[in-house]
Amino acid sequence: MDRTKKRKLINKIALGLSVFAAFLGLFWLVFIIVSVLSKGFSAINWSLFFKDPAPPGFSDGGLRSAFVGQGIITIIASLIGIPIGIMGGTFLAEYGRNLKFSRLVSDIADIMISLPSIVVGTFVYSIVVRPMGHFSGYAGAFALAIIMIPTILRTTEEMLNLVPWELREAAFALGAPYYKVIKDVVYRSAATGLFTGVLLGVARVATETAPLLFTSFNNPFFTVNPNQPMPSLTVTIYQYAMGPYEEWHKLAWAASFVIVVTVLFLSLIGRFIINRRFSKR
Amino acid sequence: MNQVLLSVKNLSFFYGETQILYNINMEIYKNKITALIGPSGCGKTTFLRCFNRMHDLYKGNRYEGEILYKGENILKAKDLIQLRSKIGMVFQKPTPFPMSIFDNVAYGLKLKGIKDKKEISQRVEKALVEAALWDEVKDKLYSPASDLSGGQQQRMVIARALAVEPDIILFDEPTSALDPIATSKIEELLFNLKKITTILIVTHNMQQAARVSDFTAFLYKGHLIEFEETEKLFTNPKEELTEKYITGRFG
Repeated sequence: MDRTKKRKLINKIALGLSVFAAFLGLFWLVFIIVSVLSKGFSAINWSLFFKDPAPPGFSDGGLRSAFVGQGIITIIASLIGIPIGIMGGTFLAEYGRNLKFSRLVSDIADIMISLPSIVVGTFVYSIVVRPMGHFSGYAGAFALAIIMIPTILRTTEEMLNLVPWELREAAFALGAPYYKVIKDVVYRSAATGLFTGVLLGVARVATETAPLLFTSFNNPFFTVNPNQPMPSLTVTIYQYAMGPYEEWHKLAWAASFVIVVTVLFLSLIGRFIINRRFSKR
Repeated sequence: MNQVLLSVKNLSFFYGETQILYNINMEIYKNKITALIGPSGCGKTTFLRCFNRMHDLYKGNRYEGEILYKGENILKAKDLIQLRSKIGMVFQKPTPFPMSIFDNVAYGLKLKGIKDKKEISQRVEKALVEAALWDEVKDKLYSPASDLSGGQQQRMVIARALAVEPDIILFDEPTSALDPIATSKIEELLFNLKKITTILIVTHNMQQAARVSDFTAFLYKGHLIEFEETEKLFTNPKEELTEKYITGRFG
């Protein structure tokens, strides 16, 4: 009897602690989102998107240069990261599925996913920025691509592993060579999953600041040349939030608002597609 | 007279060090249905998958002996793509590709390099008619194959195999995932397909073997125990093991 009571008590304590921990986590999340939304929304206006930063003291500055820079860096990163990630994941799940090497790559990718992104930033600083002699949008894009690759690689591998082997065998049995089996049957079956993986990968890097600090740096002027230092939203937020001017703070809130909403939106679309895909089966 | 399409000579099969099939000798006759029966794990599916060299997809498998097809040993064939376009296969679960019904059936034709749209659509229609599915799908050829019912999907997969006009189609328990009505449709279909092709079918279901096949092979622990005309095998088996199995005393 005594034992049962003790167990129930321990159970209640454990339950209480875990509920508390869950609420603690949720509280800060909601707090951050609500404060970004409320403070950011009031700072949103047209000049934010269509005007470049104004000198301190002028209130009609915008962040056009940062939006464009962020866009260019993210697009270049995607052009590098998405093909490598998908092709690598395809190798792991298909051609190299029985190799020890593939397990190793898969495990390393898992570790890389949790790698602090500032480490990637300093790494790219030493192998790209130093040799080139200056900060550049390319270096920033390269750093983001390095962060993007393991995420896309692992989701691709997992999504392809979900495609039943019988389906591949059925295509082989018709006389299809392996690359056609992958292209026509495996990729098509996993299409929504692959798309979601890419979406989440892009969303992940779009919010990174640390790897850009040492690579693309920042640029107060509008530029579309990735060979120059490039402004990005995240680095701009970082600098403006630290700055002494009230206008800067406002702009930082507005930029945070745009990023949070965009990423929230991308993630929700991703989740939605995954859920729909699995409820259909 | 029965014409031999394939002859199996001293076939043994190894998975790594484990021997799965032992010295199998038998003939597959043209335009006939040959059934492979036996308890679970007897090697009947393994045997079936030797005919289109499906085992080559996985490492550590080894064949010994011969399967002769038009004077050549299938087990030594270099061009598996060519071989598999002559020896079709239908699996246990329906395997619709994630594309339209039309594209599914046309897939094998496109693999063969046929580009002429008219020819493709004629052959797709012909295959769907042969697979007794045409009337049910002719108005929705371009909707996704996954919209079809399980039984329809299985007939579509049969049409996909038929479209490339194979000499033989291997069936690996094609009705075990289907309900009785869909099953009887497939059985009826198999019976009609004899006219245009040859069928080798693995089945768990002895009644099914008795109903549809002309010849039956009984496998037990990797050995071919008895190979006989279906009627003889089921009414008057020579081997004691066969009799025990078909009367349901084990398996």
